[in-house]
Amino acid sequence: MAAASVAAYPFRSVAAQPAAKYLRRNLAAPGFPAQVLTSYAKAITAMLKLPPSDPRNWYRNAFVHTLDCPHGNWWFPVWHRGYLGWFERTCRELSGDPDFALPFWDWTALPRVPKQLFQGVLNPADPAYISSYQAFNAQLSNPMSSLWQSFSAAQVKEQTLRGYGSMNDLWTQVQSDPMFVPPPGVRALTAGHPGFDKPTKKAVALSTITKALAPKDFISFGSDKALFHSQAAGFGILEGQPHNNVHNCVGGLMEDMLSPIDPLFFLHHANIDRLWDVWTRKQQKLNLPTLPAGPDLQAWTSEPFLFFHDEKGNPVSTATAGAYATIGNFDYAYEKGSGESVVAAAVPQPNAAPAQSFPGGLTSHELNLGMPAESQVSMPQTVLAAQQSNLVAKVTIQDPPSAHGFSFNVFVNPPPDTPGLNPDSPSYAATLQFFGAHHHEGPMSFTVPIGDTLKALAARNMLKANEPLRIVVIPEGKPTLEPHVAQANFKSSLAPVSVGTF
Amino acid sequence: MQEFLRPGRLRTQLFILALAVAWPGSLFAAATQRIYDLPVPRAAGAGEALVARVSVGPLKAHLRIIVRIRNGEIAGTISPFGAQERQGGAVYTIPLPSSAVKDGIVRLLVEVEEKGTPARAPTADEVRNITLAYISVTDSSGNGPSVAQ
Repeated sequence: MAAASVAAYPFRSVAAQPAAKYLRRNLAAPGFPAQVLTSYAKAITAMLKLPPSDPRNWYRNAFVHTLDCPHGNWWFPVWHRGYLGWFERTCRELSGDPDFALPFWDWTALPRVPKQLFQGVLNPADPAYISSYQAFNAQLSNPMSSLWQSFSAAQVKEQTLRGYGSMNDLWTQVQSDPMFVPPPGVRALTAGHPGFDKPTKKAVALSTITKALAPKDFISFGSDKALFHSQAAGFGILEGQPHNNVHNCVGGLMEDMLSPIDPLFFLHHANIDRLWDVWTRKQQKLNLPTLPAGPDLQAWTSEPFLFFHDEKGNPVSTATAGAYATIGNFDYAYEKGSGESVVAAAVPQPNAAPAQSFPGGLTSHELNLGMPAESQVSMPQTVLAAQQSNLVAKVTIQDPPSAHGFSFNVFVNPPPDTPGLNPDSPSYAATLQFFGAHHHEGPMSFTVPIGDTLKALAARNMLKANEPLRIVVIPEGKPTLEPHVAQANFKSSLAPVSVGTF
Repeated sequence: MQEFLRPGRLRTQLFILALAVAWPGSLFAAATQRIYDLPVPRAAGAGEALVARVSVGPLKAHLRIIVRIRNGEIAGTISPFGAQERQGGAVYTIPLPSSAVKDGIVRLLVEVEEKGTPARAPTADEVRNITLAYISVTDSSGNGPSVAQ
């Protein structure tokens, strides 16, 4: 079977797309063309009829999500962009509509299941869908086992990271969660009661969406940094609020990893993808980064996405997250929807200085309780003077402690050999601590504003021209920890600190 | 994002519980929420927004955690998507309106909603910790949405 290659389609730059070929329309907008949903229904019908041995079969396509979707980490937006992009091409192919583009469900404007989605195959309660778990398992079990047998070593590795050692592991979870929900429970929201409850209305309200679009950096916008895309690290506002709450409020199939069985899934995620596009255009307008910055970018772009297939059913090879960093050759743009106002409101400041950062070196890196580790950062005096109040230090703790009760005090230019440095010192910048141990198996970075500290140091003549900034990190254990217990649980180190405006 | 992880003061609500014993009608109210008082570590700088970072443990299906500010307004709802997310626990960012801060304290009222049962306070394992953090945002001076507290 020939493999499609994303590399064969040079993805366009992140710049605005005034001439995109396809338009993803707002389902809630007046004048929404009925043809869009007619074509969507036609594609769904075709995919339902395809044999389960075909990767484009409706349920096989849903299993791609089960096997590979990231949640609670910074690959959440980009993986779903790829998943929807290839699905849209499949719909275009199987509907016979060369102009087909997924519509989006602007739940901020329409906080209820759209009435059209209760009609025909747009409703997963339709008789065209498999109506029992037994039938579902009977039809999909062998094709999924065959798929597993065909996995490359890299694909098996991805499944291992996800916690699946075999196809049996997956089926066990499908049945026990349960992921497959037959009628009449396919959705908790019904045609008679299609509206969101109060918490979900708040999660999709413009006030929440505006906050979700506000972050200046990709990680705060797109959920937390993780080591691999099946690891849940932490949820940004966009994923944790509208995304999760809409899934669970709709209920039924939408509540778990086989949620793409419900056609509503793709309209929901098209809106998530639209909001990523809105955020990206806001960032561009303000000359702010649109993707992870610095060394994070390489880690983010190189993450493998190995389970997509194209519109012919061929596996998409050479796929990494970076292939979907932009809309690129999927070549669509969005109609305006809720949240778009943040782009209009973004006015670049002509005098704003571009983001700058200055990497430091390490004087000492091993972190022991009560003992300082130090990184020195040289930066031009002009930058220090001009950007003093905006400067932040990026502090990365390697091998964070695996037990609770430890913290890290951060100081700038503390007097040498000063015993008992504490937060009352003018050099004090911040105290860093960690959440539950299970989330911190790799390095953890913190952004520490140091503007106030620099100001305090300057007032005391403790900032010397042409001398590097010394960023000192001192770990400490809670007073309630027995010293020998604290020492036994503590082994950590400091990575080189960077200072800048980022 | 800068994490401020000086743990918030978890008020034990002994006073309210004492009232509840004396006046059974208030028992329901006392048991439905846990109150977290979180000291704001410093004033927000330009282009910063204060958020709550809520660390939750494994949660049962059909259970969600509602986070309100002191006036009862919902700030956000933690509703894990899928079994893996429910079983693993994670940290959720909850946006905070400016009215969440009073006298240097963010008071959060946290309750658990489970289908078919009355609202209740979360257990220590359901909500493990809540901290405050600042995130850098496009600021309110014409450069985007105003979210700084």
